Amino acid sequence: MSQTDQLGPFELYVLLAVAQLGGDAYGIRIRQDITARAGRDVAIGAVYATLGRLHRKGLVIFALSEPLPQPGGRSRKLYTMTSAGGRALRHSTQMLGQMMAGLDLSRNH
Amino acid sequence: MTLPRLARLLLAVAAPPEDRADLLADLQEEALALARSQSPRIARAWYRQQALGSIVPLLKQRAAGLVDRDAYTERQMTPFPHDLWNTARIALKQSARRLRFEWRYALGVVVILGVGIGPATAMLSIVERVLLQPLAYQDPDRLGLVRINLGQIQNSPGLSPGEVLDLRKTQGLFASVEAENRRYELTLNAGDTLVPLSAVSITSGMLPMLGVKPILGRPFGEADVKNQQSQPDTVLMDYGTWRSRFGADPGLVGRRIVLNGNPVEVVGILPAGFVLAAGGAAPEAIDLYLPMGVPSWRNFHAFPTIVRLAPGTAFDRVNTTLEGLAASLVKAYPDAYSGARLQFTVSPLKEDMVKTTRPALNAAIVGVLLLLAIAMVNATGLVIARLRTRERDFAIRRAIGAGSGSLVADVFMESALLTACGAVLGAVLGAIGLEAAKRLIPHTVPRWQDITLGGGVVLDAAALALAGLFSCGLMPLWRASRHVPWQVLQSGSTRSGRPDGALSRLFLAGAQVALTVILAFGAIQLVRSATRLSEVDLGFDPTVLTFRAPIDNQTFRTPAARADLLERIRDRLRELPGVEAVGAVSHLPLSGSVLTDTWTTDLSKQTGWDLQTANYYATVPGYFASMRIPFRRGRDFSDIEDRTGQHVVIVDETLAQSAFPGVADVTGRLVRLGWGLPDSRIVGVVGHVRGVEIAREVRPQIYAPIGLFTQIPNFTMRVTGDPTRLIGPIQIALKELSTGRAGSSFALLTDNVAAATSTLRSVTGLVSILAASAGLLSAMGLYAVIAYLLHSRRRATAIRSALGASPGQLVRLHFRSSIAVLLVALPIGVGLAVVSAPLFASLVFGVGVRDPESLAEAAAIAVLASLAGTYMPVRRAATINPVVALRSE
Repeated sequence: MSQTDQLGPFELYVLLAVAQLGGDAYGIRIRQDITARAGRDVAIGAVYATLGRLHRKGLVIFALSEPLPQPGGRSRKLYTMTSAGGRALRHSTQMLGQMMAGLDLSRNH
Repeated sequence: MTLPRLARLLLAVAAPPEDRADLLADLQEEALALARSQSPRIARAWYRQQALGSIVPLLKQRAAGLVDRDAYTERQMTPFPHDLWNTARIALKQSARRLRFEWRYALGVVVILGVGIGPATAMLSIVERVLLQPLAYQDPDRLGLVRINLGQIQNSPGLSPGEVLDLRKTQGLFASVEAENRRYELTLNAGDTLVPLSAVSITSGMLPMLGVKPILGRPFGEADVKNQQSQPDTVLMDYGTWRSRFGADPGLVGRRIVLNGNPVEVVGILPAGFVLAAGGAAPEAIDLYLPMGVPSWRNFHAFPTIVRLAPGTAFDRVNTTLEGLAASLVKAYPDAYSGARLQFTVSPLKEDMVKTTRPALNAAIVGVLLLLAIAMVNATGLVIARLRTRERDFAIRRAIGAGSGSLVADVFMESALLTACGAVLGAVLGAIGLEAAKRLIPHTVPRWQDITLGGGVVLDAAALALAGLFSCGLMPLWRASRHVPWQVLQSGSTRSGRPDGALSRLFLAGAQVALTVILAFGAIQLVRSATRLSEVDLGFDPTVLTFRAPIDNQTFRTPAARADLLERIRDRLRELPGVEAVGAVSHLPLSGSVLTDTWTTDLSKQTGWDLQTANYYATVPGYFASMRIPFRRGRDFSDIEDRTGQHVVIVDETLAQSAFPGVADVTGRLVRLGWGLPDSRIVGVVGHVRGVEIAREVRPQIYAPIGLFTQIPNFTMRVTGDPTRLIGPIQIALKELSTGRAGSSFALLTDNVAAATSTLRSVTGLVSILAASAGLLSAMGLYAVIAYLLHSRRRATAIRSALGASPGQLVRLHFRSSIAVLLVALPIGVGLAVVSAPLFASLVFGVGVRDPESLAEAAAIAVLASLAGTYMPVRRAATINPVVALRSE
């Protein structure tokens, strides 16, 4: 198993958000998605730093969107998960699932 | 809505270039949405929070990319600190190894930095303590001192109690208004000896207002304040006094001690280091604090008053409101103020305390900062020169694949190592300098003895030096990275003509020359002032022995009895061997304490605020002879006049001239003094004495017989030979005359004179040392520059020499560079000295603030220093052996 497959918790969040958002994953949407789902306000800088890291590992790629429909509108970087990203995500979640198998977290541990 | 600018800037700096625009635009979009849905304030707060949270991850990400892009992904389990640490460790090791081989260079930089950092840190530590945190009181910025203007009383910190009550009655200005009286003396009966102790009375709210609680016992309460007639019977004691006089006995609290014959209960011990501000530069520790009420009379202005501003008020507003109060008081009490202009001003207590020391400190700060600047310039010059010799090294390393990161780390580590050593040396020098300064200036600034070298200050100075060295180190590095390596590698070891960077190095040398002019000018001005001050005619001869003799006021109750006792002591002391003259006085000249009184020769007038004031001294006959104060007219008091308290006075010539202009002999005339005393007849006129300040006449002087005066007198003895041998016999004589009496505070009056000039002398010493260091450093700097220039022109010089140029011609040729530097730098230095001259103005005495002679001398010193720096390398180059020089090519 290569080390690339190991994801940190925040990398996992970002990658999951990219997967959830389908083709519409860009910086601020990812931030909002994590904030909405995890219920925790995350810093935009952390999202960008993590996206950069995931990109270097080859787990996500991005394409530039059409310019926004306004004068001087910018193009967004739309991120999508690569197949390596999908593998890493599966691997990490499977590992988590295996580790948690048989545990009843509702009991007071 | 506008976005928080600083947060945006920080984000822009931290974000990687490829993501910067996206990140900022995203954040702005969301912030605007938030502003619409909630409020702009919330949106801005959110933006700041986002920026703050983003900086660390972004910087980490970038640092990881910078150190090693590929290595990072491979070794991401041990992220960036490890890599950075590794690079730093290697660079440090290599730097240390290189510097060990070039120890002369390293030593030079370290010494130069140490000489610059040391004085700067010592001085800044002093400044930090004295100017920034002089008060150990609770919330000191809200505390103010009230000063009053009333007729002849100008800007005095003494209010009358009635006015204290008026201030208390104002609405909404003050949280509290508390008063103290002027320091006085009490005599403690301790077994068979009498000990003089200093005391001050305070209102019961004073210590709570300052936030000071006794470490033992209780503070004063309302019950401690008796009415004005009866003596207070409770006392709080200073920590130092409790330790030294009572062996820190905790059982003292609740016990009674005997003060001036009255039993008084010690109710508490104040914390160590507590001093009470009293409207002066350096409040001293006082032995005893007594409770005081506030009566309503207004005819005696002697109560320093400290206030705490009410929450939400500012000093400006308080002062404006008090103008109205003053006007209404003058109307309400026409008798008390007799139409004089009354004004109260409240200024921050801290500012009031540092006002007198600020000019001296400013001068010293300018001096140390200039020295630090010279040292930095000098060290930078050396670092640049050295890095230029390493250009080839850098080029080779780049050619074989070194990244700019490792080269930057290399330069940074070398600079950091040198700076660290320089900072250690500077801290040592600073600590030594601080100890020396403490000894030189014992009493001129508040809490002087507590000052220690601040670690933070050393770090600051070192950081400054490092920033300078590193930024200068980057310059050649940048040049090296710009060069295509093979160009550098190809160029020969020596070049003819002017080498690269010579101009910038000449500029650095010029800056040092200019700074030397400024410091030398300051030093010369101060040395001259000190000389002039020591030549001032004081009006008395200070080589007398002085001591204090407490009187048991229980035994000697009447003025006549006290005067008689003092005369008997005087006569007994006269019999001691080697004693020429003996007298006594209430207040010694230049002791810092003085009594003033109003006077007039217009006998139709009652006392009022428009009257002039004079210093008032009570004397025992013989005082003038012992002090060698000359009589212009008339005679000294007789013992009879002294003992019977007759109303006779002796005045100084200043008062005689202003009271009776044109009258040759004023003896026999009458003077009316304040305090409701009967009119007094002048029996003598003496020379003026510089009693308050050496530099100027402050007030005329009036002397009266001591009979009426109840405080502890100062004896003055003129003796031949070593006066200290008399201390034993004096003590024996005092005990013989009455039980339980011992002299104390033996001193030479020359000490007072020395203390009065100590600030100027110590600043002079400090600035002179700085100027000498600056001259030395700038000579060294020029030496380094010229030697470098000549070394690079070695070949041209050798060829000239081979073609028949004489050593003299070569010397002239090479001096040109130095002369050019001087021609540019001298006028700049002189100009800056002229501009900065007002900084020294309050310390300069007897010479013009911009004295041309001092300026010329300062310029001459700078010229000498630079010529001395130039001569040696030029001489060596001129006597070069062409064969040897050219062979080495």
